[in-house]
Amino acid sequence: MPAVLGFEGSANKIGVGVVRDGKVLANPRRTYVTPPGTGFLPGDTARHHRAVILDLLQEALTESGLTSQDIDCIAYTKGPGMGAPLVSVAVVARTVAQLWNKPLVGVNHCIGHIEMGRLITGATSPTVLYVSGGNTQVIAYSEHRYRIFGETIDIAVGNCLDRFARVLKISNDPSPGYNIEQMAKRGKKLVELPYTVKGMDVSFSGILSFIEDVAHRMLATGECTPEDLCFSLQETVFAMLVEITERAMAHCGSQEALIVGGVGCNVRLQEMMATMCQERGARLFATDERFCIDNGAMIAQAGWEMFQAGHRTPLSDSGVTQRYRTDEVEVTWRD
Amino acid sequence: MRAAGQGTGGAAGDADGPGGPGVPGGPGEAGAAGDGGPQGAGAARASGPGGGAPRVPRGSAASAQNGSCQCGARGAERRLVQLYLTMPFSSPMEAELVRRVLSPDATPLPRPGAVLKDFTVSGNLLFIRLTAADHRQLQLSISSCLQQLSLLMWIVQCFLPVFLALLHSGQRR
Repeated sequence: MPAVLGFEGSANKIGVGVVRDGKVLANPRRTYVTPPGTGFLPGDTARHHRAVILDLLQEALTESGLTSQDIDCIAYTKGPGMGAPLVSVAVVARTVAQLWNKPLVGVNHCIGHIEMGRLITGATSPTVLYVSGGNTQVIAYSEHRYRIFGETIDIAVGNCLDRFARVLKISNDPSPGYNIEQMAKRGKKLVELPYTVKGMDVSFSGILSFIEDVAHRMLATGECTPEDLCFSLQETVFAMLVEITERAMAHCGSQEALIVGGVGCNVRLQEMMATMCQERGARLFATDERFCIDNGAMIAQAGWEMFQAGHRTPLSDSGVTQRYRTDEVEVTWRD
Repeated sequence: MRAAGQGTGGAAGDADGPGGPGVPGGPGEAGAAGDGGPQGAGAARASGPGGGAPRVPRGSAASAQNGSCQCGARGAERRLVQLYLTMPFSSPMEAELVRRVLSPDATPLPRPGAVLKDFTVSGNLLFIRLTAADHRQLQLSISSCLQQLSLLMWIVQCFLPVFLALLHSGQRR
């Protein structure tokens, strides 16, 4: 019954999780929140992570009821993500692995989301919509790889939402995406925005530029409210995501869809995906904010699978990778 | 930065590495600045605008143990700036542990101006050398390196007692 300790800190969330045999024993997390109108920078984010990571580690051990001797493996996010935060967390993982004399496993962040989604929901072989502030991909498993069927060709959908939140000076607490979602519920008018699906892929940078431009003009003239703009942006970008997910499902003949990543917490996105799945006779799976949003347990879970399959990361190979593709990993733990 | 007990002298940011330039006349002096030999060039010293790192002679390699440097001279003469840092630990084992933790991220990105990082250990001393093409990059790298070291020391202080207890009881594999 191996127990794996997982460290996650690729963006502004830092988490330490403990997983043993499919059970999440601990999953404390902290979020680095910046003032409204600003985003988070690598150096400041890394500083935040360094300040709290030891407390989180102690919290995880206490919550799980385990000691260092009970841990069988240390997993950490090898990438993708922001460089300085990734390095800060990797340094801790390496140190702990050496002091406790435990093997080290570097985990792909995207695969962490997928494996946690599969564990929590029980989905067997879904088409995965992975949507967050840093990534937007449609993924399906085939022959020991998580294959990317479609993705953003520029910025992630969460990045589009977060940067729009800065334009309106929406609070970043608890997250800009959550606050946009709440405002969107009060929106009444649909503002027409560019709809940019390109085959299996999507593009969000043009939509962001457009809405940043019209926001100032339309709000100044009273043509619409900030709530209308939040509503319009969500409806547009989520419809695009539903379209490319459905296209991938049709291609794969898939009857399951799984949403993972921070943007996956959005209830409106889940509703729209559920409507599409219902029309196709497919099932939709999604997790709650504990596991949608970046967390340590998802790294621990993916690390657990990798550890059981014999993966080990030597110290010499334990550097981080800001660009780490989902399909670079050989998924030896699945048939 | 000099380790406590290793004597005084040297500008802020200097430290003697193994064979490093050090304080003129001090221990470890090897290769005058500008000779292009290993560890010989570009030692960062506190200097005014008129001073600065010695120039690397045209066409010569600098600093790395194999005599080459990715951010070394390309065409025209370039200034390199370096920081040498010596950090003592209570045991060779600790020093080696820190070196192993920091080394995986030392590989520079394949782009111009990437900062070179070298970590070596001698006894209970960890020697760090940072080499950059400009002062700003070096400053950023120094800040990051010191913060990583600070975090490392904090972790080691937290968990080293347990580690040593297990070691002495023979429970470590």
